[in-house]
Amino acid sequence: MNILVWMKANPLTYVWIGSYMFALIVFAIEIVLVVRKRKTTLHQVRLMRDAGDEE
Amino acid sequence: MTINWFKYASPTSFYGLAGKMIPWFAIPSAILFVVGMYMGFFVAPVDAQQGEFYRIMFIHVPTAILSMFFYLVMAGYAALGLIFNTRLSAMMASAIAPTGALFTLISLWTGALWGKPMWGTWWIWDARMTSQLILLFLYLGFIALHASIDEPRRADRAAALLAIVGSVNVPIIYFSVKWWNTLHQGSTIKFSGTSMQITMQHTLLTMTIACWFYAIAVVLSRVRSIILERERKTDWISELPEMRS
Amino acid sequence: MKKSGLLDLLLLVIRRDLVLAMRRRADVLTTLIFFVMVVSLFPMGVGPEMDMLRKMAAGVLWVAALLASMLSLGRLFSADYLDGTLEQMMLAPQSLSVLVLGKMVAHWMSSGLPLVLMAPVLGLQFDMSIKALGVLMVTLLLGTPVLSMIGAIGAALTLGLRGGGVLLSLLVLPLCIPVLIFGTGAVGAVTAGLSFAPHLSLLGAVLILAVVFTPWVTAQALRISME
Repeated sequence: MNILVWMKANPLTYVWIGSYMFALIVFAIEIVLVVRKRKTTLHQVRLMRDAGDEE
Repeated sequence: MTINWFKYASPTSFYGLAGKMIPWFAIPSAILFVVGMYMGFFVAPVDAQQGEFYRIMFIHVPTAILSMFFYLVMAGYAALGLIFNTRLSAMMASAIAPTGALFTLISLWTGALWGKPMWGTWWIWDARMTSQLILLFLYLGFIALHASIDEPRRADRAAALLAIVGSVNVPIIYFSVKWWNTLHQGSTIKFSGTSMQITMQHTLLTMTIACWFYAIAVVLSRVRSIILERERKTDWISELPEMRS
Repeated sequence: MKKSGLLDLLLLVIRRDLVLAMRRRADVLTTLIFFVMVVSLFPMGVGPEMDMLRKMAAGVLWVAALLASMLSLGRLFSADYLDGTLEQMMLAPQSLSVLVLGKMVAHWMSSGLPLVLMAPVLGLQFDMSIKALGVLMVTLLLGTPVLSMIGAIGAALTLGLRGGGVLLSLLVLPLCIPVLIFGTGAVGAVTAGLSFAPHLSLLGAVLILAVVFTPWVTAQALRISME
Protein backbone atom coordinates (compact mmCIF):
# COMPACT_ATOMS: atom_id res chain seq x y z
CA MET A 1 0.00 0.00 0.00
CA ASN A 2 1.39 3.36 -0.94
CA ILE A 3 1.97 5.35 2.22
CA LEU A 4 1.78 8.66 0.39
CA VAL A 5 -1.70 7.97 -0.92
CA TRP A 6 -2.88 6.83 2.48
CA MET A 7 -1.31 9.89 4.06
CA LYS A 8 -3.10 12.29 1.77
CA ALA A 9 -6.38 10.49 2.32
CA ASN A 10 -6.19 10.38 6.12
CA PRO A 11 -4.26 13.47 7.18
CA LEU A 12 -5.56 13.63 10.73
CA THR A 13 -4.82 9.98 11.41
CA TYR A 14 -1.35 10.47 9.97
CA VAL A 15 -0.72 13.44 12.21
CA TRP A 16 -2.15 11.74 15.23
CA ILE A 17 -0.40 8.39 14.87
CA GLY A 18 2.82 9.60 13.33
CA SER A 19 3.70 12.46 15.58
CA TYR A 20 1.62 12.67 18.72
CA MET A 21 1.56 8.94 19.34
CA PHE A 22 5.31 8.79 18.77
CA ALA A 23 5.86 11.57 21.28
CA LEU A 24 3.56 9.99 23.83
CA ILE A 25 5.26 6.63 23.41
CA VAL A 26 8.68 8.24 23.89
CA PHE A 27 7.41 9.98 27.00
CA ALA A 28 5.92 6.72 28.31
CA ILE A 29 9.19 4.91 27.72
CA GLU A 30 11.10 7.66 29.45
CA ILE A 31 8.80 7.55 32.47
CA VAL A 32 9.09 3.77 32.68
CA LEU A 33 12.90 4.03 32.49
CA VAL A 34 13.04 6.69 35.19
CA VAL A 35 10.78 4.70 37.51
CA ARG A 36 12.83 1.54 36.92
CA LYS A 37 16.03 3.44 37.57
CA ARG A 38 14.66 4.59 40.91
CA LYS A 39 13.58 1.07 41.84
CA THR A 40 16.93 -0.50 40.97
CA THR A 41 18.88 2.28 42.66
CA LEU A 42 16.85 1.90 45.87
CA HIS A 43 17.34 -1.85 45.73
CA GLN A 44 21.09 -1.55 45.20
CA VAL A 45 21.52 0.99 47.96
CA ARG A 46 19.51 -1.22 50.30
CA LEU A 47 21.71 -4.20 49.47
CA MET A 48 24.84 -2.19 50.05
CA ARG A 49 23.57 -0.89 53.35
CA ASP A 50 22.58 -4.34 54.53
CA ALA A 51 25.95 -5.72 53.47
CA GLY A 52 27.61 -2.90 55.37
CA ASP A 53 25.57 -3.65 58.50
CA GLU A 54 26.79 -7.22 58.63
CA GLU A 55 30.40 -6.22 59.21
CA MET B 1 16.69 38.07 57.08
CA THR B 2 19.19 36.82 54.56
CA ILE B 3 18.17 34.21 52.06
CA ASN B 4 20.40 31.21 52.13
CA TRP B 5 20.75 30.62 48.40
CA PHE B 6 22.85 27.59 48.92
CA LYS B 7 20.44 25.77 51.20
CA TYR B 8 19.09 23.60 48.44
CA ALA B 9 22.47 23.26 46.80
CA SER B 10 23.18 20.24 48.90
CA PRO B 11 21.89 16.92 47.63
CA THR B 12 20.48 16.15 51.07
CA SER B 13 17.99 18.99 51.20
CA PHE B 14 17.27 18.98 47.50
CA TYR B 15 16.27 15.33 47.51
CA GLY B 16 13.23 15.99 49.66
CA LEU B 17 12.33 19.21 47.88
CA ALA B 18 12.53 17.55 44.49
CA GLY B 19 10.28 14.75 45.64
CA LYS B 20 7.63 17.21 46.77
CA MET B 21 7.92 19.21 43.55
CA ILE B 22 7.35 16.34 41.16
CA PRO B 23 3.55 16.05 41.44
CA TRP B 24 3.24 19.84 41.16
CA PHE B 25 4.70 19.56 37.67
CA ALA B 26 3.52 16.12 36.61
CA ILE B 27 -0.18 16.66 37.12
CA PRO B 28 -0.44 20.10 35.49
CA SER B 29 1.62 18.72 32.63
CA ALA B 30 -0.80 15.87 32.04
CA ILE B 31 -3.75 18.26 32.16
CA LEU B 32 -2.09 20.71 29.80
CA PHE B 33 -1.27 17.92 27.38
CA VAL B 34 -4.91 16.88 27.21
CA VAL B 35 -6.05 20.48 26.83
CA GLY B 36 -3.34 21.25 24.30
CA MET B 37 -4.06 18.24 22.15
CA TYR B 38 -7.76 18.94 22.24
CA MET B 39 -7.06 22.49 21.13
CA GLY B 40 -4.62 21.27 18.53
CA PHE B 41 -7.04 18.93 16.91
CA PHE B 42 -10.47 20.43 17.44
CA VAL B 43 -10.15 24.12 18.21
CA ALA B 44 -7.38 25.27 15.91
CA PRO B 45 -8.79 25.61 12.42
CA VAL B 46 -7.64 24.01 9.21
CA ASP B 47 -4.92 25.96 7.45
CA ALA B 48 -5.61 27.19 3.92
CA GLN B 49 -2.27 26.05 2.49
CA GLN B 50 -1.27 23.04 4.52
CA GLY B 51 -4.57 21.52 5.46
CA GLU B 52 -4.50 19.30 8.48
CA PHE B 53 -0.81 18.47 8.29
CA TYR B 54 0.31 21.65 10.01
CA ARG B 55 -1.06 20.27 13.29
CA ILE B 56 2.21 18.39 13.67
CA MET B 57 3.63 21.78 14.52
CA PHE B 58 2.00 21.68 17.93
CA ILE B 59 4.30 18.88 18.99
CA HIS B 60 7.26 19.65 16.71
CA VAL B 61 7.82 23.27 17.67
CA PRO B 62 7.60 22.86 21.46
CA THR B 63 10.00 19.92 21.48
CA ALA B 64 12.40 21.73 19.16
CA ILE B 65 12.45 24.92 21.22
CA LEU B 66 12.72 23.03 24.50
CA SER B 67 15.53 20.79 23.24
CA MET B 68 17.63 23.89 22.65
CA PHE B 69 16.52 25.52 25.91
CA PHE B 70 17.38 22.40 27.92
CA TYR B 71 20.84 22.27 26.42
CA LEU B 72 21.47 25.80 27.66
CA VAL B 73 20.05 24.94 31.09
CA MET B 74 22.25 21.85 31.20
CA ALA B 75 25.29 23.94 30.26
CA GLY B 76 24.27 26.46 32.93
CA TYR B 77 24.22 23.80 35.62
CA ALA B 78 27.51 22.49 34.27
CA ALA B 79 29.05 25.94 34.61
CA LEU B 80 27.69 26.31 38.16
CA GLY B 81 29.18 22.94 39.03
CA LEU B 82 32.60 23.93 37.71
CA ILE B 83 32.64 27.38 39.28
CA PHE B 84 31.16 26.64 42.70
CA ASN B 85 32.18 22.99 42.87
CA THR B 86 28.66 21.95 43.90
CA ARG B 87 27.95 18.26 43.33
CA LEU B 88 24.24 18.82 42.85
CA SER B 89 24.75 21.10 39.84
CA ALA B 90 26.64 18.35 38.05
CA MET B 91 23.93 15.85 38.97
CA MET B 92 21.28 18.14 37.52
CA ALA B 93 23.23 18.45 34.28
CA SER B 94 23.44 14.65 34.01
CA ALA B 95 19.74 14.38 34.79
CA ILE B 96 18.74 16.83 32.05
CA ALA B 97 20.83 15.25 29.29
CA PRO B 98 18.69 12.18 28.46
CA THR B 99 15.47 14.18 28.47
CA GLY B 100 17.02 16.83 26.26
CA ALA B 101 18.24 14.19 23.84
CA LEU B 102 14.81 12.56 23.68
CA PHE B 103 13.18 15.91 22.98
CA THR B 104 15.63 16.44 20.14
CA LEU B 105 14.73 13.01 18.83
CA ILE B 106 11.02 13.74 18.91
CA SER B 107 11.56 17.05 17.18
CA LEU B 108 13.60 15.36 14.44
CA TRP B 109 11.01 12.64 13.93
CA THR B 110 8.03 14.99 13.88
CA GLY B 111 9.99 17.32 11.65
CA ALA B 112 10.50 14.52 9.18
CA LEU B 113 6.82 13.60 9.27
CA TRP B 114 5.91 17.21 8.67
CA GLY B 115 8.44 17.43 5.88
CA LYS B 116 6.95 14.65 3.81
CA PRO B 117 3.61 16.33 3.08
CA MET B 118 5.23 19.76 2.99
CA TRP B 119 8.32 19.29 0.84
CA GLY B 120 7.90 15.78 -0.47
CA THR B 121 10.87 14.23 1.30
CA TRP B 122 11.26 12.59 4.69
CA TRP B 123 14.43 14.50 5.37
CA ILE B 124 15.48 17.98 4.33
CA TRP B 125 18.86 19.54 4.95
CA ASP B 126 17.64 22.91 6.06
CA ALA B 127 19.02 25.02 8.89
CA ARG B 128 16.55 23.95 11.55
CA MET B 129 16.59 20.19 11.00
CA THR B 130 20.35 20.06 10.53
CA SER B 131 20.92 22.11 13.68
CA GLN B 132 18.63 19.76 15.59
CA LEU B 133 20.63 16.82 14.32
CA ILE B 134 23.87 18.43 15.46
CA LEU B 135 22.25 19.22 18.82
CA LEU B 136 21.43 15.52 19.17
CA PHE B 137 25.10 14.73 18.55
CA LEU B 138 26.09 17.25 21.23
CA TYR B 139 23.71 15.67 23.75
CA LEU B 140 24.92 12.17 22.90
CA GLY B 141 28.52 13.31 23.18
CA PHE B 142 27.87 14.66 26.67
CA ILE B 143 26.21 11.42 27.76
CA ALA B 144 28.93 9.29 26.16
CA LEU B 145 31.79 11.24 27.74
CA HIS B 146 30.19 11.09 31.17
CA ALA B 147 29.58 7.36 30.79
CA SER B 148 33.15 6.69 29.66
CA ILE B 149 34.84 8.08 32.75
CA ASP B 150 34.73 5.87 35.81
CA GLU B 151 35.72 8.40 38.43
CA PRO B 152 32.57 10.44 39.16
CA ARG B 153 34.27 13.75 39.86
CA ARG B 154 36.33 13.69 36.69
CA ALA B 155 33.29 12.53 34.73
CA ASP B 156 31.18 15.40 36.04
CA ARG B 157 33.79 18.04 35.36
CA ALA B 158 34.88 16.77 31.94
CA ALA B 159 31.30 16.50 30.72
CA ALA B 160 30.59 19.93 32.18
CA LEU B 161 33.44 21.48 30.21
CA LEU B 162 32.19 19.76 27.07
CA ALA B 163 28.67 21.09 27.65
CA ILE B 164 29.98 24.63 28.03
CA VAL B 165 32.15 24.39 24.91
CA GLY B 166 29.15 22.97 23.08
CA SER B 167 26.85 25.76 24.20
CA VAL B 168 29.30 28.40 23.00
CA ASN B 169 29.42 26.58 19.69
CA VAL B 170 25.66 26.30 19.27
CA PRO B 171 25.17 29.87 17.98
CA ILE B 172 28.14 29.47 15.65
CA ILE B 173 26.87 26.13 14.41
CA TYR B 174 23.37 27.47 13.96
CA PHE B 175 24.58 30.51 12.06
CA SER B 176 26.79 28.50 9.77
CA VAL B 177 24.11 25.92 9.05
CA LYS B 178 21.57 28.63 8.40
CA TRP B 179 23.90 30.24 5.98
CA TRP B 180 24.56 26.94 4.33
CA ASN B 181 21.00 26.17 3.47
CA THR B 182 17.69 27.56 4.52
CA LEU B 183 14.28 26.35 3.65
CA HIS B 184 12.34 27.28 6.73
CA GLN B 185 10.57 30.55 6.06
CA GLY B 186 11.12 32.76 9.06
CA SER B 187 10.44 31.66 12.61
CA THR B 188 6.90 30.47 12.11
CA ILE B 189 5.15 29.41 9.00
CA LYS B 190 2.79 32.16 7.96
CA PHE B 191 -0.85 31.34 8.27
CA SER B 192 -3.80 33.04 6.66
CA GLY B 193 -5.92 35.35 8.77
CA THR B 194 -5.11 36.94 12.13
CA SER B 195 -7.92 35.46 14.21
CA MET B 196 -6.75 31.98 13.41
CA GLN B 197 -3.24 32.81 14.47
CA ILE B 198 -4.37 33.48 18.01
CA THR B 199 -5.88 30.05 18.53
CA MET B 200 -2.77 28.46 17.10
CA GLN B 201 -0.56 30.58 19.32
CA HIS B 202 -2.52 29.56 22.39
CA THR B 203 -2.29 25.90 21.46
CA LEU B 204 1.41 26.24 20.85
CA LEU B 205 1.89 27.91 24.22
CA THR B 206 -0.16 25.28 26.01
CA MET B 207 1.75 22.42 24.45
CA THR B 208 5.10 24.09 25.15
CA ILE B 209 4.30 24.52 28.83
CA ALA B 210 2.93 20.97 28.97
CA CYS B 211 6.20 19.59 27.57
CA TRP B 212 8.25 21.85 29.80
CA PHE B 213 6.49 20.75 32.98
CA TYR B 214 6.73 17.13 31.90
CA ALA B 215 10.47 17.53 31.45
CA ILE B 216 10.86 19.17 34.85
CA ALA B 217 8.99 16.31 36.53
CA VAL B 218 11.07 13.66 34.77
CA VAL B 219 14.37 15.44 35.42
CA LEU B 220 13.55 15.89 39.12
CA SER B 221 12.75 12.21 39.41
CA ARG B 222 15.94 11.23 37.61
CA VAL B 223 18.09 13.49 39.76
CA ARG B 224 16.64 11.87 42.87
CA SER B 225 17.88 8.51 41.63
CA ILE B 226 21.27 10.01 40.85
CA ILE B 227 21.45 11.50 44.35
CA LEU B 228 20.56 8.12 45.87
CA GLU B 229 23.31 6.47 43.87
CA ARG B 230 26.01 9.02 44.61
CA GLU B 231 25.23 9.56 48.26
CA ARG B 232 24.57 5.92 49.06
CA LYS B 233 27.26 5.76 51.71
CA THR B 234 25.87 8.56 53.81
CA ASP B 235 23.72 8.27 56.90
CA TRP B 236 20.82 10.39 55.79
CA ILE B 237 20.15 7.98 52.96
CA SER B 238 19.75 5.08 55.38
CA GLU B 239 17.28 7.13 57.39
CA LEU B 240 14.96 7.66 54.41
CA PRO B 241 11.49 6.13 54.67
CA GLU B 242 11.78 4.44 51.28
CA MET B 243 14.83 2.57 52.51
CA ARG B 244 12.81 0.57 55.02
CA SER B 245 12.28 -2.59 53.03
CA MET C 1 67.27 30.96 36.94
CA LYS C 2 66.71 32.61 33.63
CA LYS C 3 63.04 33.26 33.01
CA SER C 4 62.11 32.38 29.45
CA GLY C 5 59.89 34.71 27.57
CA LEU C 6 56.56 33.28 26.49
CA LEU C 7 57.60 33.27 22.87
CA ASP C 8 60.78 31.37 23.67
CA LEU C 9 58.72 28.85 25.56
CA LEU C 10 56.32 28.49 22.66
CA LEU C 11 59.11 27.92 20.16
CA LEU C 12 60.77 25.47 22.50
CA VAL C 13 57.63 23.37 22.81
CA ILE C 14 56.99 23.49 19.06
CA ARG C 15 60.52 22.41 18.27
CA ARG C 16 60.39 19.60 20.83
CA ASP C 17 57.13 18.19 19.55
CA LEU C 18 58.25 18.42 15.94
CA VAL C 19 61.45 16.58 16.72
CA LEU C 20 59.43 13.87 18.46
CA ALA C 21 57.05 13.69 15.52
CA MET C 22 59.94 13.34 13.11
CA ARG C 23 61.25 10.41 15.11
CA ARG C 24 57.92 8.72 14.62
CA ARG C 25 57.59 9.52 10.98
CA ALA C 26 55.34 6.52 10.47
CA ASP C 27 52.53 8.16 12.43
CA VAL C 28 52.66 11.26 10.29
CA LEU C 29 52.78 9.28 7.07
CA THR C 30 49.96 6.90 7.97
CA THR C 31 47.64 9.84 8.61
CA LEU C 32 48.53 11.23 5.20
CA ILE C 33 47.97 7.89 3.51
CA PHE C 34 44.61 7.60 5.28
CA PHE C 35 43.67 10.98 3.85
CA VAL C 36 44.57 9.89 0.32
CA MET C 37 42.73 6.60 0.69
CA VAL C 38 39.52 8.11 2.00
CA VAL C 39 39.48 10.60 -0.84
CA SER C 40 39.92 7.78 -3.34
CA LEU C 41 37.09 5.81 -1.81
CA PHE C 42 34.47 8.32 -2.79
CA PRO C 43 34.77 8.01 -6.57
CA MET C 44 34.80 4.25 -6.12
CA GLY C 45 31.62 4.52 -4.17
CA VAL C 46 29.68 7.03 -6.23
CA GLY C 47 30.97 6.35 -9.71
CA PRO C 48 33.56 7.97 -11.99
CA GLU C 49 31.28 10.53 -13.60
CA MET C 50 33.43 13.66 -13.69
CA ASP C 51 30.65 16.25 -13.44
CA MET C 52 29.39 14.84 -10.18
CA LEU C 53 32.88 14.39 -8.77
CA ARG C 54 33.80 17.94 -9.56
CA LYS C 55 30.82 19.16 -7.55
CA MET C 56 31.64 16.86 -4.66
CA ALA C 57 35.36 17.53 -4.63
CA ALA C 58 35.59 20.23 -1.98
CA GLY C 59 33.26 18.38 0.36
CA VAL C 60 35.05 15.08 -0.06
CA LEU C 61 38.46 16.59 0.55
CA TRP C 62 37.27 18.51 3.55
CA VAL C 63 35.52 15.53 5.15
CA ALA C 64 38.61 13.42 4.57
CA ALA C 65 40.74 16.12 6.18
CA LEU C 66 38.39 16.13 9.18
CA LEU C 67 38.61 12.37 9.57
CA ALA C 68 42.37 12.31 9.16
CA SER C 69 42.73 15.01 11.80
CA MET C 70 40.55 13.04 14.20
CA LEU C 71 42.85 10.05 13.77
CA SER C 72 45.99 11.96 14.55
CA LEU C 73 44.63 13.81 17.59
CA GLY C 74 45.03 10.80 19.83
CA ARG C 75 48.77 11.25 19.89
CA LEU C 76 48.65 14.91 20.85
CA PHE C 77 48.86 14.27 24.57
CA SER C 78 49.05 10.51 24.96
CA ALA C 79 52.80 10.07 24.64
CA ASP C 80 53.54 12.78 27.18
CA TYR C 81 50.76 11.52 29.42
CA LEU C 82 52.12 7.99 29.45
CA ASP C 83 55.70 8.87 30.30
CA GLY C 84 54.87 11.50 32.90
CA THR C 85 56.03 14.51 30.93
CA LEU C 86 52.53 15.95 30.89
CA GLU C 87 52.39 15.94 34.65
CA GLN C 88 55.70 17.79 34.75
CA MET C 89 54.40 20.33 32.28
CA MET C 90 51.39 20.96 34.47
CA LEU C 91 53.49 21.41 37.58
CA ALA C 92 55.82 23.80 35.83
CA PRO C 93 55.53 27.49 36.71
CA GLN C 94 55.19 28.48 33.08
CA SER C 95 51.78 29.05 31.58
CA LEU C 96 50.12 25.80 30.66
CA SER C 97 48.11 27.55 27.96
CA VAL C 98 51.29 28.54 26.14
CA LEU C 99 52.62 25.01 26.37
CA VAL C 100 49.36 23.69 24.99
CA LEU C 101 49.41 26.23 22.17
CA GLY C 102 52.89 25.06 21.27
CA LYS C 103 51.73 21.46 21.14
CA MET C 104 48.75 22.45 18.98
CA VAL C 105 50.99 24.27 16.50
CA ALA C 106 53.38 21.37 16.31
CA HIS C 107 50.50 18.96 15.86
CA TRP C 108 49.12 21.02 13.02
CA MET C 109 52.48 21.22 11.35
CA SER C 110 52.85 17.46 11.45
CA SER C 111 49.30 16.50 10.50
CA GLY C 112 47.32 19.41 9.05
CA LEU C 113 50.02 21.01 6.96
CA PRO C 114 50.82 17.81 5.02
CA LEU C 115 47.12 17.56 4.18
CA VAL C 116 47.14 21.10 2.81
CA LEU C 117 50.14 20.26 0.64
CA MET C 118 48.61 16.99 -0.54
CA ALA C 119 45.25 18.49 -1.42
CA PRO C 120 46.11 19.93 -4.86
CA VAL C 121 47.17 16.53 -6.16
CA LEU C 122 43.94 14.96 -4.98
CA GLY C 123 41.92 17.91 -6.21
CA LEU C 124 43.21 17.32 -9.71
CA GLN C 125 41.87 13.77 -9.52
CA PHE C 126 38.48 15.37 -9.15
CA ASP C 127 39.09 17.71 -12.05
CA MET C 128 38.93 20.83 -9.94
CA SER C 129 39.83 24.06 -11.65
CA ILE C 130 43.07 25.79 -10.64
CA LYS C 131 41.10 28.62 -9.11
CA ALA C 132 38.99 26.22 -7.04
CA LEU C 133 42.11 24.36 -5.97
CA GLY C 134 43.72 27.57 -4.84
CA VAL C 135 40.72 28.54 -2.73
CA LEU C 136 40.55 25.01 -1.36
CA MET C 137 44.14 25.17 -0.24
CA VAL C 138 43.56 28.48 1.48
CA THR C 139 40.51 27.13 3.29
CA LEU C 140 42.44 24.08 4.40
CA LEU C 141 45.30 26.28 5.50
CA LEU C 142 42.97 28.37 7.65
CA GLY C 143 40.76 25.50 8.76
CA THR C 144 43.07 22.63 9.66
CA PRO C 145 44.67 24.59 12.53
CA VAL C 146 41.19 25.08 13.96
CA LEU C 147 40.63 21.32 13.71
CA SER C 148 43.84 20.73 15.66
CA MET C 149 42.81 23.24 18.27
CA ILE C 150 39.23 22.11 18.83
CA GLY C 151 40.46 18.54 18.66
CA ALA C 152 42.96 19.27 21.40
CA ILE C 153 40.09 20.03 23.77
CA GLY C 154 38.62 16.64 22.97
CA ALA C 155 41.99 14.95 23.32
CA ALA C 156 42.46 16.53 26.73
CA LEU C 157 39.00 15.49 27.91
CA THR C 158 39.40 11.89 26.75
CA LEU C 159 42.93 11.48 28.07
CA GLY C 160 43.64 7.88 28.99
CA LEU C 161 40.10 6.67 28.44
CA ARG C 162 39.37 3.33 26.84
CA GLY C 163 37.69 3.74 23.48
CA GLY C 164 39.33 7.15 23.41
CA GLY C 165 39.82 7.63 19.68
CA VAL C 166 36.24 7.06 18.59
CA LEU C 167 34.87 8.93 21.58
CA LEU C 168 37.13 11.85 20.73
CA SER C 169 35.78 11.96 17.19
CA LEU C 170 32.22 11.79 18.48
CA LEU C 171 32.82 14.80 20.70
CA VAL C 172 34.85 16.92 18.32
CA LEU C 173 33.22 16.40 14.93
CA PRO C 174 29.99 18.33 15.67
CA LEU C 175 32.08 21.26 16.89
CA CYS C 176 34.05 21.29 13.63
CA ILE C 177 31.01 21.52 11.40
CA PRO C 178 31.13 25.33 10.97
CA VAL C 179 34.70 25.05 9.70
CA LEU C 180 33.58 22.41 7.23
CA ILE C 181 30.68 24.56 6.05
CA PHE C 182 32.73 27.73 5.59
CA GLY C 183 35.58 25.87 3.93
CA THR C 184 33.48 24.06 1.37
CA GLY C 185 31.26 27.11 0.96
CA ALA C 186 34.20 29.15 -0.21
CA VAL C 187 35.06 26.62 -2.90
CA GLY C 188 31.43 26.41 -3.92
CA ALA C 189 31.30 30.17 -4.23
CA VAL C 190 34.35 30.40 -6.45
CA THR C 191 33.04 27.63 -8.69
CA ALA C 192 29.76 29.50 -9.05
CA GLY C 193 31.63 32.69 -9.86
CA LEU C 194 30.62 34.40 -6.65
CA SER C 195 32.82 36.06 -4.08
CA PHE C 196 34.52 33.73 -1.64
CA ALA C 197 35.71 36.56 0.57
CA PRO C 198 32.95 36.29 3.18
CA HIS C 199 33.62 32.58 3.67
CA LEU C 200 37.33 33.16 4.07
CA SER C 201 36.79 36.04 6.48
CA LEU C 202 34.56 33.84 8.59
CA LEU C 203 37.18 31.11 8.55
CA GLY C 204 39.75 33.64 9.58
CA ALA C 205 37.53 34.88 12.39
CA VAL C 206 37.00 31.32 13.63
CA LEU C 207 40.75 30.77 13.50
CA ILE C 208 41.44 33.85 15.58
CA LEU C 209 38.77 32.89 18.13
CA ALA C 210 40.24 29.41 18.33
CA VAL C 211 43.79 30.69 18.89
CA VAL C 212 42.58 32.98 21.64
CA PHE C 213 40.34 30.59 23.54
CA THR C 214 41.19 26.96 22.89
CA PRO C 215 44.62 26.84 24.60
CA TRP C 216 43.13 28.01 27.88
CA VAL C 217 40.10 25.70 27.60
CA THR C 218 42.38 22.78 26.77
CA ALA C 219 44.55 23.58 29.77
CA GLN C 220 41.44 23.46 31.97
CA ALA C 221 40.44 20.17 30.38
CA LEU C 222 43.90 18.78 31.10
CA ARG C 223 43.63 19.80 34.73
CA ILE C 224 40.24 18.08 34.97
CA SER C 225 41.59 14.90 33.43
CA MET C 226 44.77 14.79 35.45
CA GLU C 227 43.67 15.49 38.99
